[in-house]
Amino acid sequence: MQEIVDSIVQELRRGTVVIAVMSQLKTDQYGYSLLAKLNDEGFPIDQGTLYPLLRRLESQKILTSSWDVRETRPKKYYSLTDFGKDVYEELIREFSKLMESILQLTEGRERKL
Amino acid sequence: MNMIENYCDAVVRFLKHKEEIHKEVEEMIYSMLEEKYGEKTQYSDEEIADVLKKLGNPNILALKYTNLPNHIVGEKYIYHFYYCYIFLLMIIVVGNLFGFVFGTIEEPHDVIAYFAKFFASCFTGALAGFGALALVFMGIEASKKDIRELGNYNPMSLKKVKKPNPNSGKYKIADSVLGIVFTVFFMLLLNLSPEIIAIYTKSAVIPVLNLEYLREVIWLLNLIYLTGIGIHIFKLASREKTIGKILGFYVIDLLSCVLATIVVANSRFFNPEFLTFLRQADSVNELFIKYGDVLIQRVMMAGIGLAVLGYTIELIVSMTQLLLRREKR
Repeated sequence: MQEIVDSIVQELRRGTVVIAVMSQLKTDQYGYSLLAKLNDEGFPIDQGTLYPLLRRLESQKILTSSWDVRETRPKKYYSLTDFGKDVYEELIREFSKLMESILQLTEGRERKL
Repeated sequence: MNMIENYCDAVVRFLKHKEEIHKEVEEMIYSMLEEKYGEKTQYSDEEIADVLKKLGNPNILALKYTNLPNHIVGEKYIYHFYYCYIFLLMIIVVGNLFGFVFGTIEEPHDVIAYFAKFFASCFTGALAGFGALALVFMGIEASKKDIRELGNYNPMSLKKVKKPNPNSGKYKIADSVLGIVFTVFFMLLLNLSPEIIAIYTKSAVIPVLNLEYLREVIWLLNLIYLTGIGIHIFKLASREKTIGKILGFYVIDLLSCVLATIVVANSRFFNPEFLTFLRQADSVNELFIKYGDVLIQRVMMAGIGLAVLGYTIELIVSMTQLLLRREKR
């Protein structure tokens, strides 16, 4: 049973990872600092998933990036664009609606039981 | 350091935006090293291997950057599938080319039909090959365990990826393959059935070329064709453009134009009956009267002149691209 639950939970995470990532990019973050923050907030994600996702969001103009070459090793910082902020607000609205529906469905089912 | 470089090279090998992704992956690796082992100027091989193992197989990471659909063949074997298919395509083209050559030698008058068959066979072979190969790989995938096997890769045994010379461009495979195919076609046409190149009227078939003269000079034309084929094969074998190659091929192309001029400049090149047929049109006859019997030769040489111009433009463009690429570096 645990295997099945784990795989479904993984799908749930996959469906919400974009919102989770965007929620932390109102300020500039570089890849690894974002990874650490998400892990600390209880949303574990691996590097191999995060970095390509950041690249994809950048290609969709949701994020913008720049290299900081002042430190010993250059780091690529990401932040939301204005368009990205609008998309994020819209996603939060939709996600809230979805959460409400799920809660109604699950609470309604329990009541019937 | 080499392990990190090899890993990053392996990730970006088939990706677009290689430089940018290479830097990102490198940044990712160093961030992981700093987090686990502290900020250092140098990390040991064991530390690097530990982090690379956690990062996973570079092929899987590369696929995440591509968003490739992998419904037919999964992540584990998708690159093997592409390699095998390209190899299969080469076998199909070469095999059909041999069929075309030997078929034409047997039945010279059907050279055009064999040529059309060659293209049709290549197309159907490519489709059938794709389907068969996909079935084979689906079977391999179904019989093997899941993809987590790919996690058992050893970062220490990552091979150094051969990187192309950043200062050079590449000759396109399709250009060379098409060049070989069409050169072979024209070579066979002129050697085995030159009479096909004719004007077909209701009452007669008038060959364009003087077949007797053609027989005398065919060795020279074959030399030009074989040189062209040799150049295309060389371009396939060594695709990187260099200044030496560009200049060398230009000189050879010019020499071929000189040889071609020797052939077509001769007043015996065209069949006299063909010239008589042309002069039946008043406008053409007027041109012959105005410019003399060498009119056709002048037209042919103008054509060769255009070819030389084309080669020269190609030389200038290729050299400029190469030099600009070097400057960018």
